[in-house]
Amino acid sequence: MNEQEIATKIQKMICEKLGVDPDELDNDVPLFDDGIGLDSIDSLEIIAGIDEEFGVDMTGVGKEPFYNVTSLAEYVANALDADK
Amino acid sequence: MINSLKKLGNAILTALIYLLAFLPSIFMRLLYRGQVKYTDPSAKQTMKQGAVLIANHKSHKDGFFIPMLLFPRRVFVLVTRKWYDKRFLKPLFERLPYIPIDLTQPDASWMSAAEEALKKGKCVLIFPEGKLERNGKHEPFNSGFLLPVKHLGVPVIPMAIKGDYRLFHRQMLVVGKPERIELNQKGRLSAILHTASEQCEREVFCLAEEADDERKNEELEELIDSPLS
Repeated sequence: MNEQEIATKIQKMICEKLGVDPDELDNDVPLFDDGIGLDSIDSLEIIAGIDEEFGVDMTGVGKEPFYNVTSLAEYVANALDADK
Repeated sequence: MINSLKKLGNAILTALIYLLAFLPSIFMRLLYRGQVKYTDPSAKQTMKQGAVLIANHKSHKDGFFIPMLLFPRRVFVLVTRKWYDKRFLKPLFERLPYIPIDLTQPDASWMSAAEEALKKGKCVLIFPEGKLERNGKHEPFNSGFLLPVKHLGVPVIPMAIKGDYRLFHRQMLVVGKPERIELNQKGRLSAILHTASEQCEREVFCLAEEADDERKNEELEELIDSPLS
């Protein structure tokens, strides 16, 4: 699975699980604060969703990978590569 | 052989810790005159099928007191890593039904542990204030406790602890009416959870206030009845 495919899956998961309007969410829009305004509870759902979808545990990884969909996809792709 | 001995040792240690957990439940009832009051009879039955229990947080003793009062029902308690990882407490927490949660960073590991327990029909106790109430002032609820509720559709049972853990003074746990909360509506998850969490917060604090009045009346009656008065 390449990074773009991962990003598409993450986008879909965020829209479904967190009720974000798909029109609001592109790969580069910041997820928290001034972006689409997600909060700490949403981040737990993202962690749970990524674990469920890709088998990657993001507990305790710091803020950077949560910046936007691109950074999340990059983190997941690297974790999947490292597992190979 | 060594492995078998290790397993046996571990089993004995766990059994001992359970025994040690039973004794405090008697002490809690005697020394703090612990009492459980059910405001709705269905709560007992609901607890048998698994539920998220939410309570106000007045003291570090709460996390021991509530499971002791509900003993022998096995209640899993969410405890912060700050306490869970303390060297002298960790061996106990690891063997008793406590689930660690790291409040300093996004931590979803507690959710899977809590959901596993709930799926087995156990109860999970969460203090949604996330910290102790100071000077009797309630803290706002964090809505994360509703995530397992959303995922599994389990009921929420509000509870309130009353009393100051003074020896031989009534310490009460008031158990409210189980609620099934619909969280799978359309819209932003954080907003849905926030609204539901505020409702739960009102219920817990309402129970706490009612219980406080009742406890004060009871203490007053006892004072009046006392031969010294």
